[in-house]
Formats: sequence, structure tokens, C-alpha cells
Amino acid sequence: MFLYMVHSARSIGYATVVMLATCGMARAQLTNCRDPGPPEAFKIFVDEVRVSGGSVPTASVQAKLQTIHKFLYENLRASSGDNASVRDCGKRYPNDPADFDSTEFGGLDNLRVVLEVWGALDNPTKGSGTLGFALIPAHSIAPPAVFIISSDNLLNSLRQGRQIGAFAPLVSGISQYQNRNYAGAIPLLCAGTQQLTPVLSGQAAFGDAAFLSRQQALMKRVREMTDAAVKEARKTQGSPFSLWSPSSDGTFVCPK
Amino acid sequence: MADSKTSLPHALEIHGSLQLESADLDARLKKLEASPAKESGKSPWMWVLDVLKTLLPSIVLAVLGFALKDSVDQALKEREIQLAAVKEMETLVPDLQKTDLDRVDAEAKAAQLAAYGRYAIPFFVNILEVGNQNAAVGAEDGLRMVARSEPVPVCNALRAVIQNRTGLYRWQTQSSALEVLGQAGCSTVCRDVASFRDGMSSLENYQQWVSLPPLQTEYERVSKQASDTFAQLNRLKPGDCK
Repeated sequence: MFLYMVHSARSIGYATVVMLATCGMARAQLTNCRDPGPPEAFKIFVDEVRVSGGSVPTASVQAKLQTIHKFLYENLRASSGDNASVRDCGKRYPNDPADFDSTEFGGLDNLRVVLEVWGALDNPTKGSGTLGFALIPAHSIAPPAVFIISSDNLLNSLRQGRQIGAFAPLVSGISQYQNRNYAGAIPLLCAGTQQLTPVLSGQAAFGDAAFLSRQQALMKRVREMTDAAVKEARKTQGSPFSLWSPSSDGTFVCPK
Repeated sequence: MADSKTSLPHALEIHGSLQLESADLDARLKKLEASPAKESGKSPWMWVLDVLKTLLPSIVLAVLGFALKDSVDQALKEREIQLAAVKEMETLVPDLQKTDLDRVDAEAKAAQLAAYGRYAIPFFVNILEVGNQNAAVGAEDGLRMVARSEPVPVCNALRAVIQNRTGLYRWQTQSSALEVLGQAGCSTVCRDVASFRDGMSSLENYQQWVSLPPLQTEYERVSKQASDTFAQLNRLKPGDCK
């Protein structure tokens, strides 16, 4: 009887905690990924592409959203190659970049997710919108490591080339570097830097000062990482990186 | 005269039996005959004591039986409560594992499970091991909630997680266990944490302890967590952890 009483008292206490927790905090809307993939592989999560403002899309807009999602998925598959498995996460979608807090980054890191991508169509007629990128391995070196890239025409941007997928080799390179696979990290870091530079400089034209500052901080850390990776890789006898020459300040940079 | 001279002597016939009595036997018999008279003079207290002597084993047995029955009854009742709790939790656990659950919902479900106290601990540990992203966050929160009211069973369950070296758990589960052990102030496990920290001396060594071999960054994360937990526990009882 006593045990039952203690039990019920505790239940009431917890119920209060649940109610307070549910009412009092801002909702993090990120659901689980529908298909998180095998635990041992590095992964790229592709979330839903939605219409901004949460309005219900018409059938034609829905078709457009699906096409954008498909292009995004294919782009990322092509740019990540064998370095990561691209997963379709179904209805998962961040309502705000702030949904990517340290707990979210920790959870994604535990799942070996290196990149998460989502899209928002602002103007379905013109096709303008944004793509969001959360760079999980970069969170520890250049927080918050969440980038929103704007485009006048999302579909055209995705059709034109692989620039949107430039984050994929970059995050794979950062991950390889952090896991001390220096020789494997260098080509990925260089490919990511080269593909990403035009994307980021294009964004700078939008005049987002905060974006520019975050981008500069990330690219600075990536350059330092590349230099350190080359120096480490050169320690291995017969390394192809021993043929690289340092620049005037003694650092190693990716060949143009 | 001549008759008397010639007459044959008469044979003498003796009838009877020879009885040899031992003096000792006689004395004993007499003593026995006298004993009832002596017994009749015994005090009532001696009677009570005699009765008690006879009954004592039965009384002890009865008291032991009563005590045992009480503890068995209590254990049975405890088991009944546990089974009832498990039945009720069976409906909550699949809810926590749903794919479309966001983190807030997962935490709310975990809080409901935590209301079952120590009975929910095995569920939480299992969710840490096999659950999805948000469920794992909820399970960790649930363990913290239970630890606030019942720290001992949480500490014991998580001690078993970090003591395991046979690949029963993933590195993620051991890392979460270390984190909760530190936050719950499980000072009784500080030596186990120290042994864990010292034992996982290299990536190659630690890879043999867990089910999914960790990468360098993951190994470093667990190692850092072990050091942080040890520091937390050592703050509680400085010196005891050494």
C-alpha cells in the first residue's frame, strides 16, 4: 500500500513536470529521419522541401517541390560519391536554423551524419527560395555551422551544376581530417573549397553580413585544416603530397 | 542296639534356591522407588522451564516462518507492482520509438515512463542502445528524472553498462551512461569510471569493448566524457575516487 502511495505521488510529480515541460519551452520541430541508414556509414540527410510560410501547396507546386527535392538528392549523391550515403528523411524539416542546437548536433554526430540539407520555396511562380545546410563536423570548429543559401531559381541552380553539392566533399574532408585520415582528407577539402568559393561569393552579393562573417570563419578554418593535413600526410614515406611546395608564408594550399 | 548299629544313614534332602543379589542393583532399585516422592517436591518454575525447553524450537520456527512469510509476501507484492508497471509501460515504449516524434514529444513520453521509477530503467537503457535519435535524447532525460528520486538503481544499472567489455553496448550508450552517472552524482561508481577511463587507453583497445567500432573522434569523445565524469564525481568525495 505504501509503495502504491509513493508511486502515485511520484506520478503526479512527474505529470506536473511533463505539463510544465510541454507548455513552457519552445518546440524543436525536427522529427526523426525516416530512413537514417546503416550505423557504420557516414550519411547526408535530405529533408523535405516546403513552401515558405507553411501554406498548403497546390498539386503543381507540390510537383515542383518534389522535383527540387529529387535534384537536390541526386546532386548530393553525385558530389558525395562513396564518402557518404545520402538518405531521404521524409517529413523531417527544421522550422528555424536554431533547431540545430548542440543537442541536435550531438545526436546527428552520434549517427555519423555529416551534412543535413533542406529547402524552402519562397515564390512558387518564380521558383526563388533557399537551401539550408547544417555542417555537422564543422560545428566544433566554426559554430553554428548552419548556412542558408538563397537562389533566384532553385531548380535552375540545381540543374546548372554541382555547386550546391559543394558542402558534401567539404564536410567529408573535415570528418576525415578529424579522424586523422590526412591523405584522404586533402582531396576532399580542396574539392569542397574550390566548389564552394563561387557559391559563397555569390551569396555575399545578397549583402548578408552575418553570413559573410560565418563563411569567412569557416573557410579560414578549412584552409588551416588543409595546411595541417598536408604537413601530416607528408610525414608518410612516399606520400604524393611530398611533391607539394609550400607558399611564401610556409603554408600549404590547394593547387588551383 | 544292633538295629542302631546296622541302620544306614538317612539322606538329607534340602529344598530351596540360591539367590545372589548385587548390592549395587539393590541400591539402584531402592533409589528408583524413592524417586517419585522426590519429584513431587519440584517447583512450578521448573515446570515452566521444562515446558519452554520443549516448546522453544517450535516458537523459534514459528517466528522465523512469520518473518520469512512477511518478506516473501513483500517480494511478491513488489513483483506484482513491477509486472503491472511493465504492462503499463508496454504501451508507452513504442510511442517513444515513433519516427515522426520530435524531441519535445520524445522528452514528454520519457517523462511519462520515468513516472514508473526504477522499473523504467531497463527500458531507457535499451532505448539508448537501439532507439532512434529523439528517443535516445528522451531516454537520457528519463534516466536523469529517475535518478532525481531513486539514484541508487540508476547508478547500479549504468555501472553495469560501463563495466561491460564484451560488446553488449555501443559506444554511444556507454557515453550516455557516463554522462548520466556524473550528473546523478553516483559517487559509488567513481572507481569504475576511473577503471573505464584508464582501460580505454587506445582506440584499438576500446574498439574491442563495444559493438560498433568507434572512429577516432568518437573514441576521443567517450574518453573525454569519462574524464569529465570522473572529475564530477571526485568533486563530490575528493580523495575517495583514487
